[in-house]
Amino acid sequence: MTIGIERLRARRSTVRVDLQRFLPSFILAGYGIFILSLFARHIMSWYINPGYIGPTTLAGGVLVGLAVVRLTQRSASSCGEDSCGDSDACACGDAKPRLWTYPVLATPLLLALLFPTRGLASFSAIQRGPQIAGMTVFHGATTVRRVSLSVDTGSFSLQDWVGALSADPNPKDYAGKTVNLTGMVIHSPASVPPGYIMVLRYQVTCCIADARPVGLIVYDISHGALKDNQWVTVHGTMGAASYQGQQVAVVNPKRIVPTKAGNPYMY
Amino acid sequence: MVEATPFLLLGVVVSAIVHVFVSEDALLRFVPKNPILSIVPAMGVGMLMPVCECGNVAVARRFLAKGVPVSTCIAFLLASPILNPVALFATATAFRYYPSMVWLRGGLAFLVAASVGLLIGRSGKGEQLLAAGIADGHAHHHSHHHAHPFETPTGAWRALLRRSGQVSNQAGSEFIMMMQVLVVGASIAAATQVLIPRSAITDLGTGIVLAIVAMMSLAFVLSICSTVDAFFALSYSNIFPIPALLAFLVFGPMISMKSVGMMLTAFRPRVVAALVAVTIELVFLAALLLNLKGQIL
Repeated sequence: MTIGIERLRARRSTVRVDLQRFLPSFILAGYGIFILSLFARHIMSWYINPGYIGPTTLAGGVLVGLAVVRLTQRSASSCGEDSCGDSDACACGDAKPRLWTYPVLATPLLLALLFPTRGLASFSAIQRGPQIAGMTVFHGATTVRRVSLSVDTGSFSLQDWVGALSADPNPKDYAGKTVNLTGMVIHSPASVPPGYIMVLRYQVTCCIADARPVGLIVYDISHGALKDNQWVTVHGTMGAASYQGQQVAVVNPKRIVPTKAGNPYMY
Repeated sequence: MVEATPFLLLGVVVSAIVHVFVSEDALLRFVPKNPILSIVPAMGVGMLMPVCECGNVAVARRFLAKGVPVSTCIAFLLASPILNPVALFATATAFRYYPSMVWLRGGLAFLVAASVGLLIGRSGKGEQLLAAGIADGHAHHHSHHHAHPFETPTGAWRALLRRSGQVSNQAGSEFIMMMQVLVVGASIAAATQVLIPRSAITDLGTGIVLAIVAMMSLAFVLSICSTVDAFFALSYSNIFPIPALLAFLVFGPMISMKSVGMMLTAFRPRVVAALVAVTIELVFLAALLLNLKGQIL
């Protein structure tokens, strides 16, 4: 009986030691593989600005490397307080994480596994406050693509229009210019005048934490048939309307074509 | 969190290299005994660190564990996310139509960080202010350090290899340690962003006092990286005055939902509470004073 208990204790002790040894490696590898998988699936830009993809992917590779090195080094059990001064494999000076911290660390990874990657939608736009191009300043090399109105505006993206209207918000300068733009629809009484919809996307500087919803006001020729989150391509010309005591650029559409949802972010 | 990972990793690798390759004596040789002068090298190191607040906490923890004075480490921790070249360049780019913002931001960050560091540093002895793990590590480090002489070329390679293993092991441990608080902080920040409409904060008021409060609250909740927050602040330039934007740009990188949790891995809770309170007061007062000095702006 006594021998049986001793064996059980020894087995429990082994399990504990193994967990302390392997869990950190699994967590490091988990984060590394998650990041590398975002890169491999070409969806990292749904989380961060493409300019940061290089260093972030490198970080994912380094995390996997750290996990492998930890696994190949000798057991954590040799890294006790007594042996710390002698053991070169030992990470001295820091308390070992408690076991309960591993579920905390694993939660984001599990959530990423359970829920597919999706872009921000109209709910977030309304929570963050959609901004009308021309009424908000969007300066800065990484946030504005400056454009010249001497070129054919038919090829302008929403981001081009945001840049142009930031530099020159006077809507009269754009009157009659051709507009072809794609984005998601929102109806927000607080941000959009009645009878109009906003076609917007999110301006991302660093990551989606700083994503700012910005769009153009479009006269609603569908008379309410278009719902929030519907992606559309608007073909029309630029005009002007009075809103909150200010003249703003609005799109007078000839056609509004429902389209497949795309990347909601502009970088 | 995806965005924070490379910065956090860079921070823990620098921390691990300092831990393994730099002895306490060598490190402390660069830190003047005078508390005020000791702030200078902290700012200098901060300017050389091209990482945001996520990475700096790991480095500050290591400096604390190596016996660098608390005041110096706090000054480094608070100032380096703003004084680093990437953040200053981003501020200059975003506020190219208002170039004074760069020196206003850098100058105010320097003053606030130095003041908070000196104030907190004077409030107690080193170990009384540090989190348990760091205080233990500090005491532990006095007993030995890792500087073993290289005797032969083969021995030198072996030692280098062993130390590289140590760096890797240490960096992995620290990454896990910092990541657990980053997960909690980022989750709270994300939940707040989703559940609370941003207008609830930005509509606080139009007077200068409430405008500063609104922008500081926004900075705390959003926890945006210091290297890009200038672009974000710019989009509020038509709503809030310059002193409120400045408060956002100085306060956010120092204190946010994300960074407070990470600070708790380095300092005792009461120290973090004091640090947060003093920083709020100083940034708020500085922004108010700058508003009174309207002609400067």
